[in-house]
Amino acid sequence: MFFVLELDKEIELPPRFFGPRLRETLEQKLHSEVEGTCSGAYGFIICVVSTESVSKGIIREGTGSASFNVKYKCVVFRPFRGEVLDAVVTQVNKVGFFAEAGPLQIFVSSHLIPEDFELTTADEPSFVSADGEVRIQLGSEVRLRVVGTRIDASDIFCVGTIKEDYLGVIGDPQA
Amino acid sequence: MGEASSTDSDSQQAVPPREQNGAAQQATSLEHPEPREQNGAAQQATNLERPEPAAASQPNPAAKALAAGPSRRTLLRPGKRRRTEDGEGPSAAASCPPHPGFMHGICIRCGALSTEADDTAVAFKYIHEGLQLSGQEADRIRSQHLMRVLNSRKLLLVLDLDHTLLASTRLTDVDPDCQRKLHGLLELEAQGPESARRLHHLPHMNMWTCLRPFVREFLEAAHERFELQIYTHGDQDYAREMARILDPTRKYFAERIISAGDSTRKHVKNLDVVLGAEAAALILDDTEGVWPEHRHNLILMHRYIYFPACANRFGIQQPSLLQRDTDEDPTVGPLATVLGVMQRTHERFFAATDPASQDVRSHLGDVRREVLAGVELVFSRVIPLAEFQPERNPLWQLAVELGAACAEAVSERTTHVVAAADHTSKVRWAHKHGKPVVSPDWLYAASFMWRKPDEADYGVAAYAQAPAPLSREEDMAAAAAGAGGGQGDYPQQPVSCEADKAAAAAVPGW
Repeated sequence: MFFVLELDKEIELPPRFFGPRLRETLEQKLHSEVEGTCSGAYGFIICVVSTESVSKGIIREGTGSASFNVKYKCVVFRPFRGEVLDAVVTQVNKVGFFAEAGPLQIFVSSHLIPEDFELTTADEPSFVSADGEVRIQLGSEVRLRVVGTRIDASDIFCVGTIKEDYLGVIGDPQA
Repeated sequence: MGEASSTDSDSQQAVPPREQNGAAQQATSLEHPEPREQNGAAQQATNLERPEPAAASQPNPAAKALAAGPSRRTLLRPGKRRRTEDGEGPSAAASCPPHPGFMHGICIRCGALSTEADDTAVAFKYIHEGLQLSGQEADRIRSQHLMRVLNSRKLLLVLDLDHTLLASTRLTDVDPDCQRKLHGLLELEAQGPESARRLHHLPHMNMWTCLRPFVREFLEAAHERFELQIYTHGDQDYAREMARILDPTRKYFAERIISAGDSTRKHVKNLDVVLGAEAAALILDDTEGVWPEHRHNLILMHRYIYFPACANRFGIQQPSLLQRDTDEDPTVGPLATVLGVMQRTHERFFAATDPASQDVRSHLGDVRREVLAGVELVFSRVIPLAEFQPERNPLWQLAVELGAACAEAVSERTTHVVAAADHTSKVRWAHKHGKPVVSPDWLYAASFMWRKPDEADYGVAAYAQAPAPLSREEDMAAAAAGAGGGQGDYPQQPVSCEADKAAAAAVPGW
């Protein structure tokens, strides 16, 4: 699920940036330091929407760098148990398959794939439905439900299912 | 994005129209889905423009499916799912606990977090670093594999890398003379087609790698009848790099690459990390000692000693192939030979109609017994006289495995005398009766060549002067040290010792 959150971050700038473009540099640095990171408390920080306020800089003794406390709004992505996500299959193996929804990796085990799907390893490993019409392979798009999440300090991992109504393959790999 | 001035009250007023807008945009992003990686997600978020608060952001799946258009709905086929859900099938019966396995501590079936450690669990790090499967689950997957084998008529083939499919050496282990030679060869190959290149200079890995002759043809032919899997004691980076060279299109191995650290026990290879039925798995390796529990699945390969460093490591006195400016013959070499053996085993496996006899171990044994069928051996100066049970001597056992009969004393049925020294009474008897006298190397050569070798090439006189080879432990240690082109953590210590001649047995003609 996506949220807009207001978070803050200490940013340190070396003295060579003290000048007319200081605020711009601060924002650039904020983007590069927080976007794409993951915190256990909030989830993946997808993008910074705006900077709300910047505190007065405090010069650090010794280095001459200034540290600023920046409050910013950002979009975070955090998966929840029971949530339905669209994801792209990244690996198929004998145990199940892995899929990615943006930065999040999700594993779907063969227990949570409908029984009529069978693994074939003839060429590329893939799960194929009994009638041969639906194929889960590398690059397939699937809609899945998150059944379990593990949230560590700096990483989130999910286990998902496609063994429910309206879940399953929604698109074949792009040519 | 970038609308810094939007306040909370502002966004609340605008919720209804924006929700529609958001849903529509999500739908469009479904219509044109992109491979979503790190930046893909950022892009998706930008599509949302001003993401709604929690409650509004997730439209229910059915609505999403409708929005996605009719073509998507046919793919989802809700009716079919419902039937499998309602039926009180095996899925309903199987429930947690016991948990079948964990992914980063999450049960892969019910999603519960793991609480205690499972003794039977085996880590499958090569599939995913966080994956752990219980013993029962691994057995279940193996039995499924056996079913799949019978349907697809493809057996499992576990392949070692170093000295089996290729040879690698560190740049620092190559002396300037060889280096010049290698660069010359590299230039020569650069003129030929890309697919025929065998020598690879990998400065980023600090390594020279040479593929064994015939390996590409071998993989292509094996791929038809086998599911291929790499199992090496080299590290993961090395294994992946070699897989990339052997299989640039990822057609043969996909993700099935087991490297050092994935095994359950150090320095020993075991099929327990391979998700395949033991009865349907063949192994190709150059070191017998690393497969203590799966000897009967193993086809022992004659070592591919291309670089001088490899020869030193195994204590082989003969110069390496590179130093001799030669290489194995692709058409009759070891890989072509074992390919024939594998195909015969495959044919026998699927010719058997009785499910109980569908076991590669027995069929491989049968193929092996044909090698020296009709031969009766007598050993001379090979087995110590003091040995209480000569039939337990490794050479005796090897001869029996190859289909030869062994006797303690000469008789009119004796066809060969295997001797480690000249002028014994048995050797004299053989000369008198015109029977061939061969060195123990002849037996090893037979096991590598899968046919009766020419007796004339295995005279006893030359054998008696050759230095003693490595013992089994040293052989294993050397193989481990050689894995990954010499990155293994075994100390390098090739000191010669007696017994186990197999490693160094020279096979003339290859």
